[in-house]
Amino acid sequence: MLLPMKTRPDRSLILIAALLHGLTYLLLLPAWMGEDEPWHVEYAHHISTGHMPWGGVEMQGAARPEDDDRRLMALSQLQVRRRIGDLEHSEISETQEAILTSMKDEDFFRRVDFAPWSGGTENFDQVQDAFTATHQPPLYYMLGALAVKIAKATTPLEELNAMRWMALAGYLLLIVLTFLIARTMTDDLWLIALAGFICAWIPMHARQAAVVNNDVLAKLVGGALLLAGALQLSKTKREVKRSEVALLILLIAIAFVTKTTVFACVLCAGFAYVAAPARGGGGKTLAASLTCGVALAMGYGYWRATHSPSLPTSWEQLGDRLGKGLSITNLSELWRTSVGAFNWYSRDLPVGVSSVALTGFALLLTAALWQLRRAGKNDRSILILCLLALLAQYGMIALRGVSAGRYLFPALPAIAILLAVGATNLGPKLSRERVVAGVVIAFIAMDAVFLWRGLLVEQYLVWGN
Amino acid sequence: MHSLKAWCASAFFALLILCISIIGIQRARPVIDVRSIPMLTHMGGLSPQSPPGELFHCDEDGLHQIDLPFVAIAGSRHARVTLKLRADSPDGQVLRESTLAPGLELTGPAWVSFKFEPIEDSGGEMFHFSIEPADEAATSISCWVRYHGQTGINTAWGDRFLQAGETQRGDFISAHAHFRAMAFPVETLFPSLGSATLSIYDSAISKEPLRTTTLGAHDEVNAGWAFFAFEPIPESRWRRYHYVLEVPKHCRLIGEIDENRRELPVYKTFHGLELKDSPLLGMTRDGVLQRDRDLVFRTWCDDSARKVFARLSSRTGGTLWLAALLWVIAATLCLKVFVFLTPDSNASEETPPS
Repeated sequence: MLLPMKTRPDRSLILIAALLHGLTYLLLLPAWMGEDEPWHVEYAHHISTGHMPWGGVEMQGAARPEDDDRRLMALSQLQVRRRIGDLEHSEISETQEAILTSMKDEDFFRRVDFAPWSGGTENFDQVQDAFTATHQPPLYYMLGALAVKIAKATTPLEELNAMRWMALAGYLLLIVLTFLIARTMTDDLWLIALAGFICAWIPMHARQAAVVNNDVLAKLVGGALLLAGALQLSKTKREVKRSEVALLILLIAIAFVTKTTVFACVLCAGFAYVAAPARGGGGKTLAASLTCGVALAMGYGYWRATHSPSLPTSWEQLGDRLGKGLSITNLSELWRTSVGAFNWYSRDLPVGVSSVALTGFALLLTAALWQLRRAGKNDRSILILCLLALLAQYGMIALRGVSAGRYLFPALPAIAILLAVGATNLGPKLSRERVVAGVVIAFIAMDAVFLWRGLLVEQYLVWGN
Repeated sequence: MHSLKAWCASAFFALLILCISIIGIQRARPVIDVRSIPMLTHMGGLSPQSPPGELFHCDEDGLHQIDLPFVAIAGSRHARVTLKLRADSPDGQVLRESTLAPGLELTGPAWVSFKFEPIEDSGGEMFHFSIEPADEAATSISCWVRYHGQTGINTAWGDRFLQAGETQRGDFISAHAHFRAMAFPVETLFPSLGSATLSIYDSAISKEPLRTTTLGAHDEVNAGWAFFAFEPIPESRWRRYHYVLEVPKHCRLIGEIDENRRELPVYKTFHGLELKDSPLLGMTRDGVLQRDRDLVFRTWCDDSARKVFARLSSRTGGTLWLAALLWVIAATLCLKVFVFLTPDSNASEETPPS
């Protein structure tokens, strides 16, 4: 091995660095500047006040607008009433008004370019029409409500801040999961440390250490599923224990009450569970497959019942979404929001920085694919799992027809591992140490540009009137 | 490399990356930046009879540039325009004047910068600027207007002219509370040639209008949006309203055709209340102040590095310096692990997993 073996203290240093890095973002990301934060805080607020995410009142449209339920309250409020039980209209509207007041106080409307005029806003429809978080599965919001309770938060801003600490914890846990998945692939502790570092220093992921959004939990569940799959593939004894199947079912159940974006990781973990013992007992493999299939069907039904907009409702819609999802525009949007976009994606990193980053990432991924051909000391099956996770996650985004970089994050450990493998296989063996040093410096420099020239300037210097 | 040296080198390198990344951060940025994204309503071709302007309060010294977005509304787009900057009010002394040809393409709005000698002591002062054709003839280029409010009904510019002078009626559901204005696109509208009046009723059979508004002579429009503003209706959310729009005989509204092949006017509705503590004091037409709308524009003043960092420090509530320190430490740790390696990195190798 030409590279020095890294040690546990080194990985601890990377984790400490990640903690400080996450805290930096926690300090600098202004309130309500994480995408869709008002809606997520609203949902968690209602749970924290003792309401449950079921038992709501179905909304009614009508042929005549005068008979439409929107005469009673705004669409964003009707959607809250549809999901959450025993909510009075006054409670829904007061919550939205309190959050809107906080958004005004924290200069939200001066920062987000497409935000409308703030004078006289009374409900969320006046910020973004027909939008809600309440169609999302409830687990994240239950945990958020718990955080709100523990922090004894009373104002929307306090609730937001309490939930942002969850984001920081999620960010750190995902780095740990990346370490663990990488360990199943290789004995090379340098590569493991590098994978964790990359996971921590992808700027848009570091920024998520300060964002209230259920993507924070989705990426953790995705990471846990990939780890479960990787553990199966890395086992020397190719059979599945009942406890492992139970763990998979539990993770799938958690995935279904977290977010639809985890579905690709569910598929990958299921694939790993089925593929690993396939050479051994066929009966157990079949049983595991059937159990996974039943769990998937139940989850799909649950998502449909919660009005998830992620699921297409007809073949025509599916075709339409695929067309949009696979378009160049969508790919470009995916890249734009993966590499760096600010103020609710209304402003971008300079094109030059984005292009250099795209070239760098493409180079690393190509090197990783090359490594698939001759895996060396790395476990090829785990590398394939990582590649599969990346492709499946992109497939999910294409099926959704709407792109955002954060939708890739459930597969982030896999992406970080692929990039790390690429970095350690760029160039001749003798210069690997220097190449990896260069990659690390490049990531830190990209983060610096993102944070100090992008986020800081766009959030604090460029304000609209 | 000895451990201490490695730590020092890592810290120095982290600091260096931070410093390089903030080169140019002190570059000036707009002090006033009227946002309207996407831009919704253009004012119509500039004319010397009723030049648009804006009254604003300048917070910083060294005002030296005002930008406006223009759009070409007809093939002829090569007119020259003049910006006149006045002290205090539309009637104030002209302080600066700048004339240029915007050089617009037909692809959409383009920002045009009017640069002038800096006004050293502009901080805390009130100014007015107006935009007028430089050659005393109406032009086919237009500024953009931001009306104060959220849009409810928000149809785009139509594809046909409606019959000139025809009174238009229609019903709609108001999307939001505080319904306060409607905007209709017109080919030409000269209120001096006839009354342009909008009346809002709570139903088509009501006799008494809830609100009525008539445009003044200064509100002339040439291929742009005509705003009919009135006292906000507070409880307007999801209420049905009926409008009646009377226009002068020469005026052709822009419309579209519906599914029953009827020609209808297109329009936008605006909802909301005024904001307090804004440096924007309102748009002017021919010197008449209209506080419910602004021209879309940006102002530029002198920005020194010290001012920029003071602004950053104040807006971040003092956490900027702590965040910078944390970031440097984090980067130092990573650089120490991966870049500035020391022999003792190998001292306690972990047993790799089986």
